[in-house]
Amino acid sequence: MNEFDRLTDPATMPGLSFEEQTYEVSRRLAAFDRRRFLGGSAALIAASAGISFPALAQRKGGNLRIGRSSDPDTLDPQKTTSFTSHETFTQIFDGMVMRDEKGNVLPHLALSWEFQDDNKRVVFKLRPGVVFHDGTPCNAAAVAFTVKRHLDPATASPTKFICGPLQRAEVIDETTVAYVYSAPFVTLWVGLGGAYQAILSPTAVEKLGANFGRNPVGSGPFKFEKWQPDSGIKLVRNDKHMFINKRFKNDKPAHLDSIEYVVIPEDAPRLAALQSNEIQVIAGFNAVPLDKLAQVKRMRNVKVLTRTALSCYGIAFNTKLAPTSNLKVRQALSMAIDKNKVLQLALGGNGELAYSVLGPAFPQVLPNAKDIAPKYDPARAKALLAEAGAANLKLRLSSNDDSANRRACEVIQAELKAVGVEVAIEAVPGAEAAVIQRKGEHPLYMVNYRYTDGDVLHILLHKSGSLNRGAYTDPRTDDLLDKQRLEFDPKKRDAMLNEVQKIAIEQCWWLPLYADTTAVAIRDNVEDFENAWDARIYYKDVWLKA
Amino acid sequence: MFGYLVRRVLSALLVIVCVVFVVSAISKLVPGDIVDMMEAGNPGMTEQDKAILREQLGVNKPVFETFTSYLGGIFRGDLGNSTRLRSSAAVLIAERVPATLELALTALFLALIVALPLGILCALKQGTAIDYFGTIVSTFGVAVPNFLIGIILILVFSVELQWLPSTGYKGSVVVAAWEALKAWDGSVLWDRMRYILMPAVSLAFFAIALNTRLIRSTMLEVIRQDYLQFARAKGVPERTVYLKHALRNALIPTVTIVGLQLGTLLGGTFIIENVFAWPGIGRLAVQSIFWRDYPLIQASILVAACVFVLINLAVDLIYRLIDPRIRYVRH
Repeated sequence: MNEFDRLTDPATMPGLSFEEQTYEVSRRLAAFDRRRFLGGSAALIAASAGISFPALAQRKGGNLRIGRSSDPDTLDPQKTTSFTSHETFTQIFDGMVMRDEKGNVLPHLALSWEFQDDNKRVVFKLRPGVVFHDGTPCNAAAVAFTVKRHLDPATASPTKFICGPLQRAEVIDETTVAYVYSAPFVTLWVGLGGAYQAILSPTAVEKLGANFGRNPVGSGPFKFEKWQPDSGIKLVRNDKHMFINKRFKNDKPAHLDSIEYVVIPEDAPRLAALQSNEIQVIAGFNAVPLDKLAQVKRMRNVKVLTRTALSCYGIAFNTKLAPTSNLKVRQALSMAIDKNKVLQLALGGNGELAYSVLGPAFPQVLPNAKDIAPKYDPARAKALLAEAGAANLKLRLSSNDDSANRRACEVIQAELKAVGVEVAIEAVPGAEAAVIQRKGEHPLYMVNYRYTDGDVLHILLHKSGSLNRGAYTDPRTDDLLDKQRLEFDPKKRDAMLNEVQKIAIEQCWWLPLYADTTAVAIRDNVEDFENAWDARIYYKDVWLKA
Repeated sequence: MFGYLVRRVLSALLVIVCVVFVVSAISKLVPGDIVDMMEAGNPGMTEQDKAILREQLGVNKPVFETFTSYLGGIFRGDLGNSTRLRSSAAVLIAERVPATLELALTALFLALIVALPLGILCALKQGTAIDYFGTIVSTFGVAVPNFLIGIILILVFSVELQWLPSTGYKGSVVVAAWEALKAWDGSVLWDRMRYILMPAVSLAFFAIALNTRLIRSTMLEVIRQDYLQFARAKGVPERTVYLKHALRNALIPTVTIVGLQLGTLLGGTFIIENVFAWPGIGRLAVQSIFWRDYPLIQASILVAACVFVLINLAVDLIYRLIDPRIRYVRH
């Protein structure tokens, strides 16, 4: 149990209501910060008196070089949707809260919160004494400024949708701020737990204007130092970052002196650079190629960390177009494909089979999905097709041209051929595929997504959902998906999400295939590196063994 | 002369405007816009959200309107802002100019140091194995597109032999050369040279081929001239005859071609920079097309077109200085 667990353990607060507990936690954390600050000074005095702390001293210092495949577009958290940018400014900025893999919300800049006005108003108590890298205070006014800028049409933020029905943030006092929503918004934590809604230094934003994205100023564990386009970004330690959070073991400033992101676009040289210790980490979106994972695992002095991504790959059946409008045809096609074969050939087996639209790593996945989903049975598939009167089918399959997706499509094509269905694959680059798929002219769509909450079902299956490729318009499903957005009781909400998944399986809207693996490769002298559940990496805990 | 200059500049301006318009119009024909690109991989943005974002970013205007308002901006000295990178297009381009220039100039340098001796040798040893070798190399260079040469080089030197890095950029070679000289340590320079070698060679191949043929044929032409026979009769050694008297005259057409080649090489960087992930204007332009970032497409094409046209103009003017026989006459 670390210090954070000890301070926030509900068992130490008997008889307190949930609301009272959050205030107690906030009081304890603030007291801890003060105490630790004094303790830190004591350690300094002790150090200057010649008393050494070898265990701690060993973890200090060093420059960590991280290889990845692409460069961020901008480091202004409100002006990008790029994963690479998000990874980078996660180190520079602090968000209001963080989330753990069970969906629990953890205090970060906000120490506690309270829902008011039928859950349309959330009052946050902020951590006192936090300063931005430019020395200005990270207080309620900064939070209100950040929210105002995110919602401002002049910012034209592509991530504004993450804020939901947020109207404004009101400053109550120096460390109290209220987020005001026009309707209750259960999934507010998805955004607030990520860095797109992180708190920006108002002084820096006003001073730098459009250049803020090239010189970002936040309060995070690392400060921005320099950025050379297409070659590298350097961040240095923020000595004032003394937060404690369940996601950090380290409640003092980061151990590393600096981190450098190096862009190496091609896979082979990136792996060679890791082998030669030119870089110590390969992390980030698609940075460790799954088709070369076996090779990376064989490298000397290199460790590979893997876990199932919060994702799902599958085929969405178009329910508004013959013949996939027929349930029997959808069932037959689902039974004709051996998912495991697709996973083996598309990703070299680096993934986990999926049985529900929600990928297997989501906490809200339907527990008995595997039992009720159609099983691989080509003979039964043929019989069903005959029953449906659908002989000699010729189907078009639309996909993006990502190499793994393309391979998956080819396996599916072969599998369906075995039951007498001809498939024509139409693979085009991502954005074009999205435009084509929205037209709804194909019976089969290869779809994949990444998300950090079960609310993704709204996006995939609700009639207004942006990834509702199969044109599903089931009133019961829409109703459940709308209601789960207003349900603050996690158990009740999970039940609704489960029911939606059950309907999707029964109706065979999707053929879920698999979730891919997120992989990180590190040199074996890199310590305390976590390949986290949401694929976010925090370098605060990481240190280099001498 | 002045009238000629004015006419040339005006026609150059027209060419630039047309190029920028055609490229931006063609890039609009590809399905999907910048908002579709931003949405990719980010489920959750509804059609309504996207419509609002399009409005805010100003990307839903018709091609012609975008173009005219952009043109207006240029006359006010504003190259616009990148929609994706959210910074000034002028700054983004300026950051990438050195890498592109370095690549193009290195290729030009390579083209000259290889083509000059090879062309001269071929001319002097006409009909021998050396001449045939030169001919084969030139034919190959003219016939094979540079991106294919780039890919072949990567396959051979990076994948098979593992001598050179396949892609990337470590910083300026010129700067490294200066640092290496100061520290008297060649390793810094070699570390950067490794990255520029393959892109420069694949870019230079076409120019090497062309220049070799050109130098060979002009040399052959010059060698047969009477004044060379006269020099020989005077007792001037063969070496001096070829390198001093023949080469000088043979170089006139080459110099003008080389000037024009710099333009072609800058154009070639658009493809080569993408093959080798070289962070120059060419890569920026192609990325901006991929992102559907229209202001950045327009700005990078505009700058590239201006450079190309300016080089051509400069060559035309320098032409006269090199060869006084050339006159600009009004037809």
